[in-house]
Amino acid sequence: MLFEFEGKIISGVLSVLPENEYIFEEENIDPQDIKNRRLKRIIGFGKRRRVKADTTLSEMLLYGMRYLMDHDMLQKEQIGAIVVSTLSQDFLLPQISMILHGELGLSPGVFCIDSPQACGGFVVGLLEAFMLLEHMQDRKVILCTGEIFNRRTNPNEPKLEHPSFGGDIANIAVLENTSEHHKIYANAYSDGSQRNALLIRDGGFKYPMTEEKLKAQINHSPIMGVEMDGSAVFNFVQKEVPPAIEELLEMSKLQMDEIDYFLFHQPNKFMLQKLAEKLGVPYSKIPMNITEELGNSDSGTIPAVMTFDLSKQLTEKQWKCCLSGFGGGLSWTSMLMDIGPLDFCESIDSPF
Amino acid sequence: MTDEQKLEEIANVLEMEVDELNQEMVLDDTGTWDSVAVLSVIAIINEKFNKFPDSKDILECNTIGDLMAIMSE
Repeated sequence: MLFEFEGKIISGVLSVLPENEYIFEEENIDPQDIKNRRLKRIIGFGKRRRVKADTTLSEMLLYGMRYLMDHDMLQKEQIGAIVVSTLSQDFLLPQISMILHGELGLSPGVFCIDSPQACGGFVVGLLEAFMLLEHMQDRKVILCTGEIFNRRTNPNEPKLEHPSFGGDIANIAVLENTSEHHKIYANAYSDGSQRNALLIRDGGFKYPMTEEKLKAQINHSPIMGVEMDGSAVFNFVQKEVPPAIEELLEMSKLQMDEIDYFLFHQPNKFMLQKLAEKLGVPYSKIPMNITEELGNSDSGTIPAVMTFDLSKQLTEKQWKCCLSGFGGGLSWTSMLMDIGPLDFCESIDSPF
Repeated sequence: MTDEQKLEEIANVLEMEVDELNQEMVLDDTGTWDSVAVLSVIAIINEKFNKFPDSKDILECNTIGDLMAIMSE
């Protein structure tokens, strides 16, 4: 499906980071094993942030929302809608958007919606937010993303037999209407026939979570509960994402080299390097270090690129950016838009 | 791709020298035939032949020669 929007901007992005950082060499049982060294160097394992036991995503998002309000970066009355795009729900019901609504004391006129998206979460969330902005006048849409799959549930956790590149984060993006008429182009595609290539089997109604399963996941799975057909996902990204981006360039009449930054989901360094080569784009235009620096946080990675890698650039001036979120579904959603100068683009450490 | 080029690519993937390799060599004996290597071979076939092989096809290879055979149109 194709989309075109006009007069809509991202005005600020905040990332809320877990306090504790875990280092590959310290976390793994045998970091010097040649396979592990190759994973670190080629795939890009490094450091990652993990939340503490019992942390919920809503707590992290509330921490970020209060930070924005306390620092006059956002007023409660300006909020017209809350869009939450994540798999890390606190409960089946109520949804995180309703928890935020209640805790922040928002008015009944504020629209709340949650959408269970994975790696494409931020870009899908932008699509939802821009559609809502058509009906918002001067009020803003708050787009929340992030995951907490890597909770350190056991403080005496044994060293990992299988290295993990999963990371936790919570992000808040503020979106609003503007009188400027820059166009935004987007496309969104789905391939449900490959839906099992990324699977979190347990915890839904089909296979309810049990204590035994949870224990097994914590002890044995690289990222809690995620089963992945790595080569299928790799092939899918290399095959589907470049033509989707070409399509956006055609729609916008722009050339590939006119794009300043490619803000892509961050599965790992290797996959992004190959994607850059396929697109014929220099590595310098595609930040690819988030898995290495913070960990892969699914819906949380694109805002992490903005706050971690491009904070200075995006607050200084306007850039032509191409965003793409790809993965679970399988789905791939891409967007071409001007970003900046943002009112804020930063990350804060949290007690979580 | 010539056999020389294929051997060079495989040597890179396995972090070995070309002259350490021969077609009869068993991949599992190299010490670096791991998930990273499999993904790297898929990436090469992707790039050179615009094909998207399944990891199962790559994992069926037993020797360097088998791998060279799969690296083709």
